[in-house]
Amino acid sequence: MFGLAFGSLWNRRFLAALTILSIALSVALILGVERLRNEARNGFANSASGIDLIVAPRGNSVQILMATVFGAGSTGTGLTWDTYQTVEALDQVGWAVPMQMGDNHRGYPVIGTERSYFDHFRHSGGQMLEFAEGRPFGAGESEEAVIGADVAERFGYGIGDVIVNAHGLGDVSFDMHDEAPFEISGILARTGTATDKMVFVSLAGFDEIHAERTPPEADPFAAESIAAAPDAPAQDVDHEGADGHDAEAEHGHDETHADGEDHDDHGHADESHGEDDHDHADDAHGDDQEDPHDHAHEPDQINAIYVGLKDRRAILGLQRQLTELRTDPVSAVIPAVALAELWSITGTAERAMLVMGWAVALAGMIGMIVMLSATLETRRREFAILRSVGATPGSITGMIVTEAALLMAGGILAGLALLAAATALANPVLSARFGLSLPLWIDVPQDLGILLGLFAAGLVAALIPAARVYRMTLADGLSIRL
Amino acid sequence: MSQTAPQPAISASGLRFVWPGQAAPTLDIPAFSLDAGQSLFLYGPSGCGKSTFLAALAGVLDPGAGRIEIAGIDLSSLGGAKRDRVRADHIGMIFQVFNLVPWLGARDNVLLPCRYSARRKASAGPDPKASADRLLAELGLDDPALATAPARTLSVGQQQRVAAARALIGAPEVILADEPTSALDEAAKVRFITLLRAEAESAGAALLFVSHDRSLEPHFDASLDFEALNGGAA
Ligand SMILES: Nc1ncnc2c1ncn2[C@@H]1O[C@H](COP(=O)(O)OP(=O)(O)OP(=O)(O)O)[C@@H](O)[C@H]1O
Ligand SMILES: [Mg+2]
Repeated sequence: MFGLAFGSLWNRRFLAALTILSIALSVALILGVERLRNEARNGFANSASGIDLIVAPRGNSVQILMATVFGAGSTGTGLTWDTYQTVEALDQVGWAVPMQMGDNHRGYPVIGTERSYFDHFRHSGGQMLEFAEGRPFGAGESEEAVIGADVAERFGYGIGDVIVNAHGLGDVSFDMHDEAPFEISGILARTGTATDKMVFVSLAGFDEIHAERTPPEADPFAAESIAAAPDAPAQDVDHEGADGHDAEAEHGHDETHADGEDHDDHGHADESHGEDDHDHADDAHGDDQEDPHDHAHEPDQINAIYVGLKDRRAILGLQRQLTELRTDPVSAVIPAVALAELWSITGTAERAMLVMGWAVALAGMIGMIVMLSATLETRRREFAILRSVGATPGSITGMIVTEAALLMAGGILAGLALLAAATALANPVLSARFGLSLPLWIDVPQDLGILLGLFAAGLVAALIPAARVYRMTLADGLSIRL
Repeated sequence: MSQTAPQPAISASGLRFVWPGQAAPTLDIPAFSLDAGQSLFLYGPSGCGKSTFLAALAGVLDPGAGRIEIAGIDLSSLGGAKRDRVRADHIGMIFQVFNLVPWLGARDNVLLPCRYSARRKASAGPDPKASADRLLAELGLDDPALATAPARTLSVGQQQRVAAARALIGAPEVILADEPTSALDEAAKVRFITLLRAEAESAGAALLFVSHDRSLEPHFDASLDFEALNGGAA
């Protein structure tokens, strides 16, 4: 029966292929949306905890959340150090950690922050960041970096390896001037969140990456458009060179750090600074410096401030108070609220996509019924012949159901292949933009339910032509009239 | 005909069948039998119920009244699925036209009964494919290209011979042929009947051949007027 069903379908392979294609599309669409949603919700919800407020240049709260916690895109123009000091000094504020972002290491976002980040940041429902190996970057040391588990795994980095970061969100490999080497001092234990894909350096270190560059890009989309290529050539610096300038990397020196491949570095003087006491070792900043009042060890601009409250009940009051801040126009984002906002935005799209997926599934199944039914008339002869050689009406009905099962199975397999291909293509973009990477193949317990449901629905749908066949073969008997 | 042989391949008695919606019964056959190894030519005008009779013998119709035995098995006591089983195991059928599944190859068409009947498959020998090819060759279709070509690419005469091979494979006790030669020219008709008769005889099968074309009568052991047999028909 299987062989006959397959042969009969093969005989109508063009129609069968179209039917399979429409089922495949619906499978890919439904599973893809489902997968994206789950992965996004889990990943995103776990990525931000322990932070009560994110203070950033005034803007869209979702965009601020994306840029900070997920390292995707950027927050408009920067905040001044004054703002940071003002925020930190507020009564309600328990702790405040300055954040710089907008650069990358081979496609992975580089975050400039202080050591205290590792004490305050929480993920996955309140867990602290843990070091799988090593320790935080040294306080005041500009050339140490802490990397997330994915970064370490992807490039095989270990403690003591030296990496170079490029300015901007994209991996602009030819832009050699912007390189600043960092020695890896610590590797974070896997969190399953965006942190795994991040590189952390000190504020001073971050400034060194693009010391004589123009201010951070204001347009996140201009930067994002090139962020989709994390696989660009590696730019490791050999250990020798690194060790060399390790030795000479001291507080307040004006040396350029990329000794080996340095070309025309100006004597920029980005200072490492002890951020705990905010000591102001003054520094002659580069000639292209914009703010003459900037303090050497304090960054020109930061992109955001993570804030923890002494008492969380004060959060709404503080949020209001921050929006009226005099130093910079800022937004104070409550991560959970921004996430909810994000879901309400994506939720509509998700639902639309899901509805579309099920609609395509429905269309695919109707197409299957139409195809199976339409050919029944012309196949009456075939059925009568099979009856004459001993087929029961039941076995002919079974043949139709088998054909439907083959079409559904073919559609599901083709859909999974389609989804895997689409995921493989989309993952670099998703990973660069949203820190997400989707599994290529089925996630058994969750997807299997959907697939089995689709398959069963297909078989149930096939009962319509099957019932017709049953009645037809009983009525026709052996008479072969057309 | 009366029951003369110890074990007739086909026997029927008191057979009555009325198509739904018709006043007079199409079949009203007091007694009929055909012995193993015999060939019978059954003739009658169009519409007199010959095909209906074959369908009843093949177990496709469920005649409310009467008794039909195929190879000693009483069909009237069996349900639909079991009658289908008897047909698969013991009966080979040939129709006027459209005998073959058009997209299946000739050999696969011949092998169809083996899919539905383990008994036929077992009787077809250790290699049913070889048996199918042998039958095709005996019926004059020994070109190996023909064996695998889709049946729709064969000529009508070739198709009828493939259908004959299919009816014969696995040595069923009964062959029912419903005007298998009506689409063939005179020379082809005679050749086809001669081949079919020879094969049925060597397999020891009873051959019931139905036609309205009485010129074919001399090629069979015996002949019978369906209207005489079908006493109750209008
Ligand atoms: N499937 C059917 N449903 C209802 N009536 C039928 C059916 N098949 C046949 N009949 C009726 O039964 C009668 C006999 O038909 P049948 O096909 O048995 O004749 P036949 O002797 O084989 O004719 P022919 O030589 O033309 O093939 C006809 O009057 C026909 O209308
Ligand atoms: Mg007829």
